[in-house]
Amino acid sequence: MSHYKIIFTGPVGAGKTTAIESISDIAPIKTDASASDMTKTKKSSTTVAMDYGIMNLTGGEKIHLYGTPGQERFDFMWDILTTGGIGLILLLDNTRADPFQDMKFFLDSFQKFIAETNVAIGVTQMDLSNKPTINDYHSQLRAMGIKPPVFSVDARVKNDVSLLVQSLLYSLDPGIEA
Amino acid sequence: MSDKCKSPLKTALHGMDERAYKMMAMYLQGPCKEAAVVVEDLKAEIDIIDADSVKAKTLLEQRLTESARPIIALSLQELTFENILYVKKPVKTSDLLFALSEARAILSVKKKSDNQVNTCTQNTASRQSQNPVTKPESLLDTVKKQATNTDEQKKTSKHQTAMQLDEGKFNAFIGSVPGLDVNDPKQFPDAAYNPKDYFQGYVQSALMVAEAKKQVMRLNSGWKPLIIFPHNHEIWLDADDKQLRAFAGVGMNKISGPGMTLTPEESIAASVQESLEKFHDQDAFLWKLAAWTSKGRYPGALDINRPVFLKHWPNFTRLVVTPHALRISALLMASPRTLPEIAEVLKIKPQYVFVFISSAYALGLIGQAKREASGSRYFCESFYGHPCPTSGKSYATANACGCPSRPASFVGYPARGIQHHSRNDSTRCRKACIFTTQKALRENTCAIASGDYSTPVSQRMKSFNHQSSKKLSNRVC
Repeated sequence: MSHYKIIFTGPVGAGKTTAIESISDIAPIKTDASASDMTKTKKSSTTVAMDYGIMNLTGGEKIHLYGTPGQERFDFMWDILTTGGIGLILLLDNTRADPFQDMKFFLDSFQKFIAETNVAIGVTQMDLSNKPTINDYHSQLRAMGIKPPVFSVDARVKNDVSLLVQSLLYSLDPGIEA
Repeated sequence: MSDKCKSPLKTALHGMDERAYKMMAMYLQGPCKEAAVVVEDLKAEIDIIDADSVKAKTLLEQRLTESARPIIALSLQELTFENILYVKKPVKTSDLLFALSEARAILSVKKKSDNQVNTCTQNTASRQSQNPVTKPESLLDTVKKQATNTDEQKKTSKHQTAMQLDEGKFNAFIGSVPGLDVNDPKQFPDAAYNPKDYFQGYVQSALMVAEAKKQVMRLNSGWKPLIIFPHNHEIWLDADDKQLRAFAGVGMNKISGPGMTLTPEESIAASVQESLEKFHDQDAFLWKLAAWTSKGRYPGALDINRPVFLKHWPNFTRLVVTPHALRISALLMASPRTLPEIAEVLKIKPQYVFVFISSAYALGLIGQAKREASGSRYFCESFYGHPCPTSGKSYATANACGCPSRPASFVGYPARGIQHHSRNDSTRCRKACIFTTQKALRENTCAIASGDYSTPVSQRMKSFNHQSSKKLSNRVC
């Protein structure tokens, strides 16, 4: 029985916890605490250690889903959580002041992990703010020398999160052995 | 972006005596490094209020009801107002800078929203933007809801999740051309189509004209009017998918073709503004229109014997996901391939490749590699934008493609990828994940043997094969 591990990361409020909730086959384990800093202007609680969920595949295989805390002060958790991972899902909130800055920050922070594995990017809240566009993200990424999947994602919608996860997995292996 | 790169926030100060006023102005200029500058009330973008002053409560209530500007309140005690940014006294520079950056974020969202409102249908939005700030919501929430939303969220076609087609649904949803077996290699030359012979071609031309002129245009086809909004990258069409699918497959002959006209749309009819659900994202619309026009064929402009490449991943969550589209994308992102080669490598029917290529080509995502670069020799520079390093994923990937940008023998063995599966040519295109170094192998032998998933990526991915991907795909579809 094989087990794989995927890490969800991104800034506060990008939808990491929600995305894991959407796609997990178990009730996700959350480590939410009441927001005591400026995060409370965005939401009442925030992840302080990690989120955890599981996707069960046929044949007993499992994909373990780990969500990192969004706040930089918990960045010590990031290295811990990426250990053993096969890929990274980066969720970005399109209503933030500078989502490109967020993207660069997280791609830099997880640079080593991404170099060893792969990354897929989900842009959330595009129904609230449709700029920058997905093409704008691709332009930024092209300048950075990478071409990961970038999808518009509603973290509450299982199908959206599922497609993002699938794109990550196929990026790792398009399935040539079939 | 650092605050230095941004213009200072124009700030009005309230509830402060002359001395505190001057001190705060200097504090913003000095320790806060001009993140904000004090201006008179009328010119201000944000308000900073001393919430411990005698008139603070009145001031706050007044500001909240009369102004949509972000408010930063300074207080010794935590405040009960939910829609203000709060900085505890004694004020720390880092706290105030954080609050200022939040205020800047709110302003940015509001500005973005206002821009959208201006370019969108205007009636509803203008009413919304006049709404006063409501107390129970945070200011950010209010700003988001005020402008961005109502209209954009009602454009349900734009934001609905993708439809994933499996092989079983393909013929029913996409259709086929009678008398043509696109899966028969002998019939490949006949499996090409010219988009210009169909509605798709006219729509594509109209989109280009509207984009070039930056003008709202109406395409009159004698069928249903189609309106193009180039600023928002949107299309409005008063037809459902069934109707569009049927019309997409109808050839535009020389009689009906000239009947097509493209005219500037000077004023947007109320019926259009009210039918927000009929707005489509331009790419999503063109994607499905091309799929329905293709019916499993490929665009004739492509040479089927020359490799094609994908410029970037399509935004699959908002498109019709044809069978194996994700796998085809992943493969083409890794290296250019001819169309028959894609089908062969992935062991899928050519019609799934052709329909994907047709849609991606309509969106301008497909390029055709030149013959001299059709191999993977220049893979790293062309697709990763940098030459292969001496080791690591890019090198291994290039090596996997059989054509590293430098001979493998130039690289020392500890750094060189070891190919675990080298039985035949098809393995050349496996991604770097099946490669690892001897050193890593030695260090992790026990973990690998025990099946521990916290083993090196190269080994973990070796076991994550197509079967696993397929299981996932089956499970979530």
